[in-house]
Amino acid sequence: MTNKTNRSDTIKTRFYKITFLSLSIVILISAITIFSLHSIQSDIRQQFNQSSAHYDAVGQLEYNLTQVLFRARSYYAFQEQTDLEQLNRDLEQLEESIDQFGNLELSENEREFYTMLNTFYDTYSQTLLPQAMNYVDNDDYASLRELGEDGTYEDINYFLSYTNAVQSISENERNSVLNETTELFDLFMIVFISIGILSFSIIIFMINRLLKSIHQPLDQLLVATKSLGTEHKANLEENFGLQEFDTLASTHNEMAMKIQEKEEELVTQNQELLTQQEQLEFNQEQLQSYISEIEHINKALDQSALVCITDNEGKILSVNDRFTKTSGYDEDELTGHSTRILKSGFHSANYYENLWLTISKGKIWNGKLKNETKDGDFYWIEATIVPFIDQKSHIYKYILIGIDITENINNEQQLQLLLHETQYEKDKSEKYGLLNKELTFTSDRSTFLKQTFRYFESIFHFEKGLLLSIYDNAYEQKGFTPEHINELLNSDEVYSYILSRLENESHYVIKREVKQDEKGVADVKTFAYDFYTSVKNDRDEVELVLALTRIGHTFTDEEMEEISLLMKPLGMALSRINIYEAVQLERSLNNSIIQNVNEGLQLVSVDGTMLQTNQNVFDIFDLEDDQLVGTSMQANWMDQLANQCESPSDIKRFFKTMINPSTLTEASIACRQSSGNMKYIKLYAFPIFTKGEKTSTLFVFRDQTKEHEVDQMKSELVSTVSHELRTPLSSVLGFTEMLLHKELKPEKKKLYLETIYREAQRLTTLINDFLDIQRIESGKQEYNMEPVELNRLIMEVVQLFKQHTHHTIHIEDTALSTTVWGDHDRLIQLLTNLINNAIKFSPDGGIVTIQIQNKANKVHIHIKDEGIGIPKSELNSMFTKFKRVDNSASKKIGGTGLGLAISKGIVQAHQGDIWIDSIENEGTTVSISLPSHDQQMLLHSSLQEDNDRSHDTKGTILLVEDDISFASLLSDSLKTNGFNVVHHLSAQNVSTVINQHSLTAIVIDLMLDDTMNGWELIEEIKAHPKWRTLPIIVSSALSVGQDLSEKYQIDAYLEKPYSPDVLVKACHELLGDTDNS
Amino acid sequence: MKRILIVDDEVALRMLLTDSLEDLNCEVDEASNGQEAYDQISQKDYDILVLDYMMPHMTGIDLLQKLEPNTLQDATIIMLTAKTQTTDEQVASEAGVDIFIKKPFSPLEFINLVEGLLND
Repeated sequence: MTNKTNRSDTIKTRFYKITFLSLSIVILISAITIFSLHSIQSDIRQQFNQSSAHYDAVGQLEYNLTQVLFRARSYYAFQEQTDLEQLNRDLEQLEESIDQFGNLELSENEREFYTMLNTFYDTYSQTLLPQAMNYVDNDDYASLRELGEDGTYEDINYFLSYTNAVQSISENERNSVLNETTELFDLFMIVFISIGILSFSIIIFMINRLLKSIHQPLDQLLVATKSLGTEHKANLEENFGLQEFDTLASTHNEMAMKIQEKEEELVTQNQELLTQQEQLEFNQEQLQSYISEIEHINKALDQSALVCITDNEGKILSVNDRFTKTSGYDEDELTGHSTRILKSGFHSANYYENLWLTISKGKIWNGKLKNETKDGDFYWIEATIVPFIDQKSHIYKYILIGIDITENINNEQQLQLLLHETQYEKDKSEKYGLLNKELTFTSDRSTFLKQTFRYFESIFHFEKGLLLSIYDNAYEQKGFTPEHINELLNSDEVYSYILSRLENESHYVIKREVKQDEKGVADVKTFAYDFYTSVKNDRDEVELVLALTRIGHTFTDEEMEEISLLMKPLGMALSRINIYEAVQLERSLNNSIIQNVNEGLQLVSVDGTMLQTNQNVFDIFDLEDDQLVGTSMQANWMDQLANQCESPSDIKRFFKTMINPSTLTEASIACRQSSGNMKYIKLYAFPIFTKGEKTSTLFVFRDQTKEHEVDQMKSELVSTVSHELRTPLSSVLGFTEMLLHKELKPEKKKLYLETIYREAQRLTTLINDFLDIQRIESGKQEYNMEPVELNRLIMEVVQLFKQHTHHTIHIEDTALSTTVWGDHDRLIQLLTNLINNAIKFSPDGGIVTIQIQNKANKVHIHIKDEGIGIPKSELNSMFTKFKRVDNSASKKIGGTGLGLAISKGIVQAHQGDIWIDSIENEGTTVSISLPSHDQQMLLHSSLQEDNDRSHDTKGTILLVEDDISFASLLSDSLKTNGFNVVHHLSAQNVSTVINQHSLTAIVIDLMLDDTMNGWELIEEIKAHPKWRTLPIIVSSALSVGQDLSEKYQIDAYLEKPYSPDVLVKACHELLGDTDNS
Repeated sequence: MKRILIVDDEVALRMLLTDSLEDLNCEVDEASNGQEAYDQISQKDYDILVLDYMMPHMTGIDLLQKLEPNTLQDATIIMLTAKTQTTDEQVASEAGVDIFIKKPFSPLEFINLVEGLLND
């Protein structure tokens, strides 16, 4: 439609277009015409002017010529000077006019004429006239005449005639121009008229076309409209090119369609009307028959209608038989009585008042009345009361005509009741449907209770109600207080009574007197009815108890039946909930099992969707919890897991093949955690079958990192041990072979044998160490625990190293108690190991200091050397098996690399600690701490605070004594008396010890078993400029002479055996402290 | 006279190897670690290299890998090792080891082997 509108014009625009087109054509043509006429006209005017100029010039010429001739002749005749002058002037004028003529645009003839004229003039003015003048002056008229006859006059005449001819020509020309102008005007007229005609015809044509374009659609419209009338067709092309018509056409079409529709409607209506008419005709016929019937009925009515006539005050005057029959009164009983006797009391006073108001005004009253019979029954009448009015417009009586409609009313009431009941039933079934629906979707017990109770509430009437679930005591109630319910729940008697009854009966009712609190305001004795029923499960156990209480009226059998019937579907719904809950419980149990097993579990369906997974999977693959959430699609979870692994493609292939495995299959995965640690995972795939069909695959991820590490360690250990054993074995076997098969010099033989011995020893140590560490690590090492005095033990061990002459070993003992609970042999092994290390790793000698201290209930032992030390980077791994610091310095020293591992094992078995401090190239300190086992110390907890007394002592005493028992006896005594003790077990290297400590005194045993005896040591000390003042106490079994004592300036001499107290006393004396003895 | 370099961190083994070769017509040098051996190889040409696998800081394999290619092109490389796994052997032969001897070994067999090499 819009397209059409765009294409077509309105009539107005069409008209404007045509007008504009015509007007422009007319204007164009007129303009062209006027322009051409104008040019023609100017041509003509020019022509005219030209010929006028010719005419004038020739005229002037003629005049001048005539004038010249006239003057010349006059002169000839009278010879008057004035004439001559005049002649000359005329001649000049003639010349002028000749020139004037020559200046004009000339035709060929004229040009010729002009030349001739010029010649003539020249001849005349130059020759003829002077000659003539001459003749005149000479009065020679004969010559003059002759001259004249010579043809001068001919020429003049010719010229004159010619001028006349020219003039006439010019005249003609002018006339012709005038004619032309006239013709032109005529032509113009013709053209103008034709333009007018043309324009007019164009306009006519245009208008015709416009009319045609209007006419055609109109025609079509006419035809269409006509055809509409005849053929009921409304299709009119909506494309006339004119908007109005297009619109008209479409409107027409619409109209036509509507007309058609209307027509169809009309036709159907018409048909209906026809049928109605038929019906009417039929009705009329029926009516006719009815009328006749009514006449019959009228008679019958008279029989059946109740008629009662009263006076104007309502006193009954008479009644018909029917009335007496219906009312039960005899006519006599009614006559003379007021109609009030009939009243049932059903209608209000207003109703009667209204009735009386109507009829007393003289109007007819129509209405229903409920009356009472004599027997007290009721009957309804449809009554019409008509007042009778006399001529004075007074009401003198009323007549009541009534029809007994009691039955109708009753029926109606019954119908109402039925309708109400139906409505109620409908509501009930709707609500039941709703309940059913809700119960189907409910898996929650409390919702179930709530919905069910609401349903009962909405359907049945009761004052109080309780729906109780037996197993969890959940309930829904109405009208109870919580106390009531608690009372009921806690009252076993009531409870078990109800239950036992309900087990046997589907329902029962108890009638009881209303309790005080149920009574309300009325103080009348009322009864309450308690209705009980139950929902039973499939094992016929009572699941729910429904108790409803009504006050004042009981439950009908139907209601009870209905409620009981409801219990069955409720029981089913409840079983479903029970099953659901059981399933839920089982599921959560399963889930907690799944979440708590050690393995990672992942359930994958056959299409690769991840169905379930536990936390371990995330942990194993080092993924965040949410990284697999929402990635149940195969590609997602598989990529996530595979990307964590060392070879993702292998894992993915495994997953893909295993999602459809026929048998249990397994794979091993290595995956790198974000911390950089490797995880080794054993992956098992189990197919899961449901009804013989494979539905999913269970992947079990077992973290085997620990096992893998143990394996790795085992194989490494085997390889290391094998290597460690083969190296000395090579030497042993190699040199033996050499000895056996080669001729060797004796020195060489000895060297070889020594080497074999050394290497074999090394082998033995290695094997022993290895067996030790195996025992310790496997926990098979037996420890014979007993109290061990560590200071004694240390001295024993140090004694063994005495042969290492280039190392000084001394013991700084500041501990009050060094007793620990331990295995004597193992502790010796431990200390030997550590001291051996200290000596071994200080190849250039130096001092090995062993400090014994008490710290916080523990015995600390520090073994310090001044050896090669340990690089910082290696410190942490020092206790690893076969660990040896890998540098040339340590390599030279050799060892099994098991010593520290064994030491650590022993220390740990004693609940102790071991640690190493070291500075490379400066020395190492290995420290151990073992729990103290001194009962006394444990009792005196105050001592624990400050067991290390090295800082506030009376002084330090150096004991040079090789008898360990005696030395420790002395040491203990000194320590208990507040001295620090430094042990040195030989006379060798004492000087270094003296250098290190500020000593109070030196106790020297004379009988030292070394190369150096006591005396030599004393000599050495006394010879030293710094030490000569150091007090020396000699302790010896030998008795020494006074002179020797003096010689060596000995401060005290104690003869063995002596009590340690003696030494303590001597020390005190040396300090000048005599009080403490 | 052909030159042999013995590289081993164990003094006893160096002595055993050197002594076993003393009757052969060859010049025997010793090195106690990889770096020492590297320096010696850089200075002199050796015909036979007797190399221990496990040495501190620089293993025998490390040494071979550290050497410029073609350095020991004509030399026979004998590797002595307490490592007995075949993978070790593989690694060694890839690094250019010609003969692989497992510890403990027979000095007489070793002598025969070297003698044979010297006479080639």
